[in-house]
Amino acid sequence: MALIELRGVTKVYSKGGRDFAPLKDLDLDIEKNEFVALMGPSGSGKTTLLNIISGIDKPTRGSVRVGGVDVPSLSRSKAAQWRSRAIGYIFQRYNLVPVLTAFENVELPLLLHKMSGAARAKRVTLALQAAGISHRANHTPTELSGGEEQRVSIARAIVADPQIIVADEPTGDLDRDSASAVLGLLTRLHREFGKTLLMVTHDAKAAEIAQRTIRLQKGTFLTPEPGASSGNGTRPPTPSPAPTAAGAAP
Amino acid sequence: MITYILRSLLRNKTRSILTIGAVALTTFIFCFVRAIDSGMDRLLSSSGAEKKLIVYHKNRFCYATSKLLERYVPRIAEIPGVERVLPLKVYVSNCRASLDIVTFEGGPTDELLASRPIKVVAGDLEQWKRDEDAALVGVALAKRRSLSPGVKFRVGNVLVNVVAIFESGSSVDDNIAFTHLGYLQRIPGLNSVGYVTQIEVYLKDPARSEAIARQIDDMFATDESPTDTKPERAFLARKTRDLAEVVTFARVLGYVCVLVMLAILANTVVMAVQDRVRELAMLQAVGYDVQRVAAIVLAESGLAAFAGGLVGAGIAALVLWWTRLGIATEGIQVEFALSFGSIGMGVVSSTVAGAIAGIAPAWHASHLEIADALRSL
Ligand SMILES: Nc1ncnc2c1ncn2[C@@H]1O[C@H](COP(=O)(O)OP(=O)(O)OP(=O)(O)O)[C@@H](O)[C@H]1O
Ligand SMILES: [Mg+2]
Repeated sequence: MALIELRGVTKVYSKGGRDFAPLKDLDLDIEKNEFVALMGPSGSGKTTLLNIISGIDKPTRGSVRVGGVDVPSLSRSKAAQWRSRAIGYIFQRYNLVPVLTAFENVELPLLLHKMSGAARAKRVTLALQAAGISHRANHTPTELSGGEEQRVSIARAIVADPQIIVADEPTGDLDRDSASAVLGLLTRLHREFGKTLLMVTHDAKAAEIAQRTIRLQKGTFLTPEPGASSGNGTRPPTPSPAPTAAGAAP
Repeated sequence: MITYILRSLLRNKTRSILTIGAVALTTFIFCFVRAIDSGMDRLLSSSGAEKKLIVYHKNRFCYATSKLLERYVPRIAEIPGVERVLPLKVYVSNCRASLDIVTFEGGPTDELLASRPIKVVAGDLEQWKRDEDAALVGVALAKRRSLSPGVKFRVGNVLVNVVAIFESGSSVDDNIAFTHLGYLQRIPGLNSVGYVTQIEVYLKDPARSEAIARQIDDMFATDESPTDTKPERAFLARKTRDLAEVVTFARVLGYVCVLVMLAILANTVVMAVQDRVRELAMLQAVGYDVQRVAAIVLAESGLAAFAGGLVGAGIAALVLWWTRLGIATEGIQVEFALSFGSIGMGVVSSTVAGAIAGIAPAWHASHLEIADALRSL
């Protein structure tokens, strides 16, 4: 069974009496340790799909199983607790807390887990190191560049060592150099740390680093799914990944 | 987590300061009202039970109009069961309710000292007994009017020479200046020679207080100045009746203030939540559950209110303890009494109010549509 398994997922919004379905009857399988890029025009439902997989949003119909968990059936609080262990979310606009330092921002998700202060500090430091931003640990977001902010946000996503990382246009707001640095970092998370990545992007170049690219348009996948991948973004699977426990993992 | 909550409070400094200021002001008012309240309570409970009767002119309520013939004094002293009698001439600077009133009580010096448990803290008691125009001034009054031994002190037609300062432990007495009876009676314009304002009657047996009071009133019922005799507590309650109504009114106002603050505070917390829906959504996206998000909002608003409560209660304590402020009516000084209990109650209730004000915003924050909030700018 795939790590992420969507069957017949449909999302319907009712706007002013009229139904509007950004996602229509989608099937999707993502294997453990896969790196998948998700492309599609604006409004095609990419963010909605990420949110449904991470239990932030619920599908109108269909089943979503992630690591064997029936995600839509979880209550709001149960979903949050599950997310704190299973999913690392990277946002386009970083969403760092402006009044906290980089270190404190990365620490936020760890405050949900029972551990000693020393153990927590160690994991935060490791995550900052893995994201290549430990030299900025004591700076607040306003003192950081966009690329640095996104690194902090990535450190925050991996600090609790989730198996799955979802990233919603992680390079959307970055210049080319910062973007390629962030993409390099995501590749490392995949190759060295064995994470499963699902990354939304508008940039075909960015999608190239993924093993597989899927395209959403008008609520459906352009290429049949599961099975063959789209031509452009397809690359041979990366060499066998290192176990999850490396690097930022405790 | 605490770091996050504290920093969140500091993020919008102006708003936090205004919020804390509003809470501080309300807590200040709350403490003030409580202080007046317990001042009244203390006044009415401290008075020496039923062992002391006060004889006053019937149907007269002001010191200026109560005139009893001095010759009543020996007749009352003869009544069986009466231990001691203290005639007093009382002169007050102001008969109405006022924040700054000066009360002179003139009496025979030895009886006065026997009836009032006072401790001289400065000056010379012997000089007070000796000099006709000498005044023995209570600490509270001395502090309020900056009086010290050697100073001349004039109120209206009364000019005295302050020779000693005393402390009595009674808020009423601490606001009084004691003089010689004859000196006050002879003040020009008072026409009081041969008259006293009131007579204090000390009883051997409190159980007989009512009978003796009736006996005194019967004795002078048809005399030049008919009397009205009451136990001290009833006398004080009668004299402070108007003030008690004002205090009730102030209490209602105080509680309305607390309600208003609650609304202001709730509004502020709502704004603080609305300003950062995306951040609150982020917290939930990284795994913060309903209880935690709600707790954060409640803690922020409770903490702001706690800080405000501390500031307000602190200022109230400083102001009241420093100035020994009190209100007087018909010459009875009600000193505002701010107890540690009231201070604690002020701080606790403002904190609770803060938490209550945070309930709706906390619910809102913890139940927002995460997906929509993350999309918002
Ligand atoms: N709460 C909502 N109510 C109604 N419509 C919504 C709601 N949330 C999203 N939509 C709509 O659903 C569609 C899919 O939105 P989504 O954000 O998933 O698109 P996207 O592919 O991520 O677009 P973009 O590339 O611009 O981020 C959009 O047309 C959006 O307007
Ligand atoms: Mg999107």
